[in-house]
Parts: sequence; structure tokens; C-alpha cells
Amino acid sequence: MTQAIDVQAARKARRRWEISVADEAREAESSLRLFWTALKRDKLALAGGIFIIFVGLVSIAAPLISPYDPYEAETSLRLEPIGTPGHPLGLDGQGRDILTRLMWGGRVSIPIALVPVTVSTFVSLVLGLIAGYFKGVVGELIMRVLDVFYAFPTVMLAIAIAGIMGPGMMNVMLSICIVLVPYITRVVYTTTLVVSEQDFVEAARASGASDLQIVFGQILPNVLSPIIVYGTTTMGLQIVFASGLSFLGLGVQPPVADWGIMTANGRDVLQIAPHVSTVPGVLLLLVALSFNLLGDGLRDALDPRLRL
Amino acid sequence: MAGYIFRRLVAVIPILLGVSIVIFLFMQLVPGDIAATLLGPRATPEKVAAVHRQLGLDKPLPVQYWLWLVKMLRGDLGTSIAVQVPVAELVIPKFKNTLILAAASLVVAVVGGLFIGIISAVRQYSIYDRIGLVLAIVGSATPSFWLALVLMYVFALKLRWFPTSGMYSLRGPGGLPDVLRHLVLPAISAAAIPLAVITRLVRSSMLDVIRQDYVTTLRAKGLPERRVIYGHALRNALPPIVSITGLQAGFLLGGALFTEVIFSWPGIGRQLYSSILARDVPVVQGAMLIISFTFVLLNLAADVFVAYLDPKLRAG
Repeated sequence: MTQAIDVQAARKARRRWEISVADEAREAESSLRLFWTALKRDKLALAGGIFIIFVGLVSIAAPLISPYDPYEAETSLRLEPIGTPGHPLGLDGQGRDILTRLMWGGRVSIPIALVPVTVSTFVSLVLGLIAGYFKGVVGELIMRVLDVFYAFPTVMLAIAIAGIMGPGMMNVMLSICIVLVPYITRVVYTTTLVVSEQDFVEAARASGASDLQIVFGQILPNVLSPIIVYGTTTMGLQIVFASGLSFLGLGVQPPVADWGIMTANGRDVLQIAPHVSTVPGVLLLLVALSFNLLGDGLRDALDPRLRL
Repeated sequence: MAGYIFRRLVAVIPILLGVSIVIFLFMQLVPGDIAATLLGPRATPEKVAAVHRQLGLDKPLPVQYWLWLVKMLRGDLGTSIAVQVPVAELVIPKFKNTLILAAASLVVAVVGGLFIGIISAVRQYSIYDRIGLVLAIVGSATPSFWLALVLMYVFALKLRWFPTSGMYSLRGPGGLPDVLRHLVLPAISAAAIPLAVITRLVRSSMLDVIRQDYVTTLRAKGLPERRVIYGHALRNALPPIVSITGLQAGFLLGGALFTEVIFSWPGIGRQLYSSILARDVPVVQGAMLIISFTFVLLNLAADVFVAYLDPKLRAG
């Protein structure tokens, strides 16, 4: 019996929350306001978004605000731990300040994920809209080819591509793009299929709108929401993954500062100086977590059930 | 059911063919000329041409692909450039080791995920739910290579409960207990993300099912709660869980790579990585072939199992 009461209470709690959001949002007018109101109430998503912006700004400003030069080595202070005077996060195996390298690392670790996700999203939008709306032979061909790429575990495929092509930021970004496109295209494709069947698309067609007008005016706006959610969540994963590639030596090369390379540098000294490996990893975790929370918040905020 | 299985098997063949084409084309991605690389400083135009003929590189690409494919299907995966050993001999024992690691990780992820997910769903909004959700959300953001290092530091280096690397101890007694000791840390660090994903999925899938009217009816009929949850709700919540578990299994096959490298687990992931660094293309191709084919068949098995659970899906 207690279980049944719990479920009822849960239902009531959810309903009360839904109603209060709707009350607040009723003052807003456009669906954009509704969405923004719902998002603001999700404190975790907001915290995630703020943290991401903070890390981004620090990374951009690194040349101006970092306490030291990322390549400057103070060999007498090698492997000093967290809390060393003047070096709050300690120093690495070559005597370089870890806090500084974390700040500079963001200038590599963030774009190396941001660029592929953005580029893949554009490519996937084109492919998915074509395949989902116009269908036909071209559409079938696109989806069949992507099905083949679905057959590869993504980690393996990206490592193989990046590894075979050689080290460097461009190759890593390219391999991540190749790996992401099938997944994002599938999301665009299925959403396009669903939206194409809706009445308002029929109505637009009946009133004489051209295919292009329908795609940009009706389909695309409705495809964007799930894509934005997917893109945000995958950003977190890709930052971790790109760092993993650098960790394996497949991305940027030392002495460039990057969160993955920093973690790899600490492997040899793990027993005596664990902070060298663990600190960059914590930052990675927090950034990925922020993107995940933001993505979850966006998804909940875009949930049609909240639009009353 | 048999018809569904047959149709799915037929659909898989063009995909496997496509996979083989992509893997074959991999050779083309290597920068520079393979023959020149192999010959090194002694390369002259005549020697390069001779090696081309020897490796069959002077034939048109589709012909090369066909010859390569026929060889593969006969079980001849080529010879490693680095160690002059047949690729199959090199790669298959390593693949077995990866299967052991992947299986252990999958067990941890599925059992853990089901356990935490069901408790979260059944006691929604309680402290157990909150802890479960936090674990799942943080877990899915955890870099696996970082987690491996942290676990290694705490449990292997500091507490000395488990060994830091390898699959067997060099001077140990060998056998199952030895492998299990070496398996614990790698299995946990590889299982972290799949566990997080499965937990959230089990929770949301169970929540959807529990809210259905027939569950209330079952309770009204006086069925004990345990039967309601495990006998009925869980069975109906399973299809998406099984599909995603299939995907996670594939992810483990490839993603265990980080874990294998860090813990020096002698698996196919680690072999793939070192062969990539050595530009040993035949081994890379052979390893990718085995991993991808297994991934495809695993997902097929998951789909078949889901169709078995949910007859409505068999029509497609």
C-alpha cells in the first residue's frame, strides 16, 4: 500500500510543478520565453551553463591572466603537490604550473570538441533533411552508407582514423566529425520523417509553398530543438573523448598544454604525485558534467508537455 | 520469430560488406607510400615498383579489394608487418582476453544498473533515488581513462588490494583466482559509463511502466509488490534496456581500449592501439574487422531478443 501512495504523491508533486511553471510562463508570450523560463528553474542546468561559460572565458583570457607561462619550467619545484605557495594546483613532472596549463589547455581541449560537433551538426542537418524530406534514391543511399558506419564502435573508429592519419589537431577533429555524422544525421532523419507527416506541413504545401520554403520554414525549426539537446549532451562526451585521444598521443603533441596530455604526463609519476593526472581529469569531469546537465535541462525545457 | 531472424540476417550482409569496404579503404588513408616506407632509405624506383607488384598494389583498386576480401573469408587475415606473424594468430587470442574483460564489465554494468535503476524507480524522489541519479549523472561524465588512473592509484598503489597491470601475475599460481584479481579494477573502470547509462534507462523505463494502469490493477488484485515489479513491470520495461545494453556491449568492445592500455590488459584494443602507432596496417585491419563484425552480430542478437520479448516488433 505504501508504494501506491508514493506514486500518487509523486504524480501530485509533478503536477504542482508543471502548473507553477505554466503560471509563471503564462506571462511570457513566445515559446522561446516559455522555454527560457523552464530552463531557469532548473538550477543544475543553469549552474552547468554558467560553469561552461566561466571555463570558456578563462581559457580565452589565458594569455592575459595565467600566473605563469605554460611552457615555463621550474625544475626545482618538480612534482610539488597541491597547495604549494604560488602554485595552488601543484606542478607537473617538468616543473610547469598545473593551473596555468589547465587554463591554456582549455584553448585546445574545448575547440577540439566544439568544432567537430558544430561542423557535424551542419553536415548532418543537410544529409538528414534531404534523406528525411525528399527521400528517394539519394535519401536511401545516404542512410545505407551511414548504416555501415553505425557498425563500428565509435571509439575504435575514431582512434583508427586519427591514428592512421597521424597526430595533430586537424586529424582528431576530422575523425570525430566522421564518427559523429551518422549519429546526428539519424536524429535529424527520424525527426524530419515525423515532422513531415504533420498537418501544418500539408497545409503549407496546399497553400503553394515550395519544397525549400517548407524545409526551412516548417521542418527545420522543429528539428532544431532535439538537435540542440543532442549537440549539447554530445559536446560533453566529445571533450572527454578528444582528451582521451590526446591522452593516447594521437592528438596535439607535447609540449602543447591539453587536458588529455596533462593526464598522460602524470601516469609515470602516479604513485608519487597523483595530482598531476587527477587534477586535469577532475576538470574534464566537471566540464562534461556541466554539458550533460545543460543538455538535460534543455531537453526538459523543450518538452512539449510543458507548453500549456 | 524464425522469419524475423532470417530477415535480419539478410539485412546484415550488405552492412558487413560495407564494413569490409571501409576497412579495406583504410589502407589508402596512410600518408605516404607503403612500399617506400617499408623499404626505407634503400628505396629505388625499381625496388618500389617490385614491392608494389609483390603486395598487389599495381592492380586496380576494386580488384585489390576483391582479392583481399576472398583472403579474409578464407580466414587469412594477412601477416603483421611489425612481427612477421599471421595476423589471425596475433589477434584472436587477444580478442578472447577482451571478451573476458568486456563480459565482466557488462555484468557489472547491467547488474549494477538494474539494481540502482529499479530502486530509483520504485522509490522515486527518495534519498535512494537521489543517490542513484547523482551516481548516474556523474558517472556518464567520467572520463574512463581518468577513472582507471584513480582506481589504480587508490586500490592498487596505495591499498595494494589489486595488481596494477596485466592479466596474470608473472610469478603467481595462475588460474582463475589470479585472473579475477587482475580483472576487478579494469572491469570497474570500463563499466562506469555503461553502468551510468543503463541506470538512467532502467529508471526511466521502469517509471514509464509503473505509471501504467495495468500495474495499478495488478496491485489491486493483491499481487505481492515483488511480483508486480519483477514479474510484470520489469519484463515490459526490458526492450529499450536490452537494445541499449547491446549498444553498450559494442561500446565496451571498442571503448575498453583505454582501460586495456592503462592496465596493460592484453586485449585486442591494446593490440589495435600499438599496431596503429606502428602503422602495422594488416593488424589494424584484422582487429577492426573482428571488432566490427562482433559488434554487428551483438546488436543483431539484442534486436532478436527484444523481438522475442515484444511480439509487436516482429512485423518489421
